[in-house]
Amino acid sequence: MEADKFERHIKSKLDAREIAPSEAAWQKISKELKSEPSTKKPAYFWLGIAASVAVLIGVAVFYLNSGANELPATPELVDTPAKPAIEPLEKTKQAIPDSDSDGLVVQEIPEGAAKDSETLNTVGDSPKVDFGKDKQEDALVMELNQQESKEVQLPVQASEKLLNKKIAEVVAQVALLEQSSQVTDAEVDSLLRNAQEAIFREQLFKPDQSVDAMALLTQVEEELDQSFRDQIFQSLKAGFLKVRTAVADRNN
Amino acid sequence: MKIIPFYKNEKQLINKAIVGNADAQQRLYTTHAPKMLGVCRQYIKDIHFAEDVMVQGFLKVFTQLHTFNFQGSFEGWVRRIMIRESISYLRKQQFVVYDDEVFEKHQQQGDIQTSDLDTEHIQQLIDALPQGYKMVFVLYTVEGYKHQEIAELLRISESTSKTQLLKGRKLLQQQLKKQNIIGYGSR
Repeated sequence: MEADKFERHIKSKLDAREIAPSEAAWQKISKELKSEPSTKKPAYFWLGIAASVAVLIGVAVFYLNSGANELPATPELVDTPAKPAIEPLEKTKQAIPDSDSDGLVVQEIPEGAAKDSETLNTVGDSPKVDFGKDKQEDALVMELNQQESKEVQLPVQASEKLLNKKIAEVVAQVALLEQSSQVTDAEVDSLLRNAQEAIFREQLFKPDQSVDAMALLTQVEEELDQSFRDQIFQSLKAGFLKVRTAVADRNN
Repeated sequence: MKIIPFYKNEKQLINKAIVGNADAQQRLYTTHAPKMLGVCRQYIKDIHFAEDVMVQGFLKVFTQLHTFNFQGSFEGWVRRIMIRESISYLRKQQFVVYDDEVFEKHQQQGDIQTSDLDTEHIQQLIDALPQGYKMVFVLYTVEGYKHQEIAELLRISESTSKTQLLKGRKLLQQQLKKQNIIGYGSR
């Protein structure tokens, strides 16, 4: 109780206490208060500038980063080998009119079912159109670089037999398919693509056991061009086959 | 009847001071400064430092005046600012030691010679307390804060606040016993 009363006494005494501050105290306060409005505005001003600069830097970094990400992905690297990669394609096509490929296609049409001649015609037509263009381009190329054309002609002649063989194979496959069911454009396209790939694969090795750089590049190109979906499907297929064999082995 | 006009007057003064009226600001200052210096002095032994803290407190009062919502007394609002300002000053000076060893050290001290328990003597007794005890003691006894509020304000635990208060009280009683003036408060 005594302590409580003592504390109350302390409280009352200290509550009532007043100490007169020095005059300098108010002068300090008024001085600060007067200078404050002038200092406050620049503070906000600089804060605003700092914030806008930060935002600008952020945006710049964002765009530069996104640009940097795109740069390595630009097709420049892919394009440079792509240009020569088209040439062998055209060269192989160029070989087609020289051979009796047209004749083969035309000959096979009556042999196969006549009802789907449209699809075959489209197959036959598209190269015809290309041949015209190719011939023009070839003529230019021949005029400009006779040396190069000479070099090109050699492998072309060497692969003529190969091409003929492949075309015959494709046509035979189409004919087989037609006998069993209707042939769709997609099927014909895929057969042609497969044949083309096979030709390139075989072209890879020249008769003198050296590797054709252009053909190798083209092959790599195709592998790169293979879509992500195809890759997924392939890996799925491989996985499925693995699982199937595993299950079959377990049963055994 | 006298209180109401005064209050109205104070409200007008505050509103003027919010706008930046220097005269209104000075009048508010002269009204409350002596009491607020007394508040700061409770925590800060040196009157000059206490005055500096009061100046900083009033600067805060005038810059934050627009946040005063006229609920509760203006004096109480200013007082709370002064207390916070004093505590942050002491924290910056690293005066506060919430240490039990301080208690034992201070038990041997007894340099208060005055027998008269006037305000100045009380202040001397409080000043003699270790900083941690002093703050809790003043906040609890003089300002009427609860332990929870003290704990939040001083960033300590509630139990620390309670033990600090107990030890502070004990130390004060010992000082008073030495001077044979314990019966003063019970009169």
